[in-house]
Amino acid sequence: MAASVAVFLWLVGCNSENLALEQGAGIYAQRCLACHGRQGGGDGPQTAFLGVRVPDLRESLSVKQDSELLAIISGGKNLMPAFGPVLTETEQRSVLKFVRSFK
Amino acid sequence: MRMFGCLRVAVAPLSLIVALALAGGTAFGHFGSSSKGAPFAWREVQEVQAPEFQILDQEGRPLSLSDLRGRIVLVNFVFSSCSESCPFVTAKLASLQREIPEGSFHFLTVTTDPEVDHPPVLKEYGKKFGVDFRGWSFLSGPREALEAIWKDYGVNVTPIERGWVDHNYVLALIDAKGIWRVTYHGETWETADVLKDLQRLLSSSFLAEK
Repeated sequence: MAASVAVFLWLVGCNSENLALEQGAGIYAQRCLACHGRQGGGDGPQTAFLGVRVPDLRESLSVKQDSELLAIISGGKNLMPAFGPVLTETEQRSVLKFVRSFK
Repeated sequence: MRMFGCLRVAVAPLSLIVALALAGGTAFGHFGSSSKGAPFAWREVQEVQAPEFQILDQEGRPLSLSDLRGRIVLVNFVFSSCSESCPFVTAKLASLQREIPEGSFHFLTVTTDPEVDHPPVLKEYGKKFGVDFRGWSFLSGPREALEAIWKDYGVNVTPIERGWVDHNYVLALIDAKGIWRVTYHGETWETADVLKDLQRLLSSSFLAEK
């Protein structure tokens, strides 16, 4: 019985993880990809269009804590807009989860 | 497709330009493109009374266009959570503000997303770009009032979802007497071109040189 419950909870956990990743991917595609690029390399189509340089997001991922990255998502940084007024905390965390999946 | 909404709409006003040209009363100084070759910006010379409006600034105070008579006014349209061209446009304007003499000019940035861009949000947005609020107001207010302004200044706004709207880019240059002299359509205008127009307007030689 206990094993069944454990498996069930694990499956539920996996599912919610996947849902968060999926949600994060959708938000990233809509609001971040244009500058940050598909894998966070700073090579999104908008950078070429406007001739601007966007730092490689993956470098920040390796040195910044989740709380720091969430603060940037919420409050913006340099030209990056503040998403605090438009994304819920859950949505912001899902974006972080997706971004953390970059290799 | 939605991701490139702002860009997609940026080319849409071509038909409007053609229609205006056919209707007369509007002259095109030149069709421009950015130094990067992007055909998304062009300059339109005109001479019409700038449509009056009254709306709230970033402090929540009412502000009318006519309050700024005696100064050259630049009006543009963005929304604060835009992650496409809006922040680059605001950054260009901020650099422009640093190059021109204080007191002779006033920048007006009108939101295209009143549901999110309340005055405190716009104040933070302006702070992020290091603007001098003495010469720059960020405007918001009820959607109905903003819709009238968007229409008067040729801005097409389509809400997509919270914090995301499609809109075209307009930068209107209005002289010290309230006459709308130049419009830059699109977002890839060069600050040097706008600066040249501002200097002409300031020296009152604009009409002779247009």
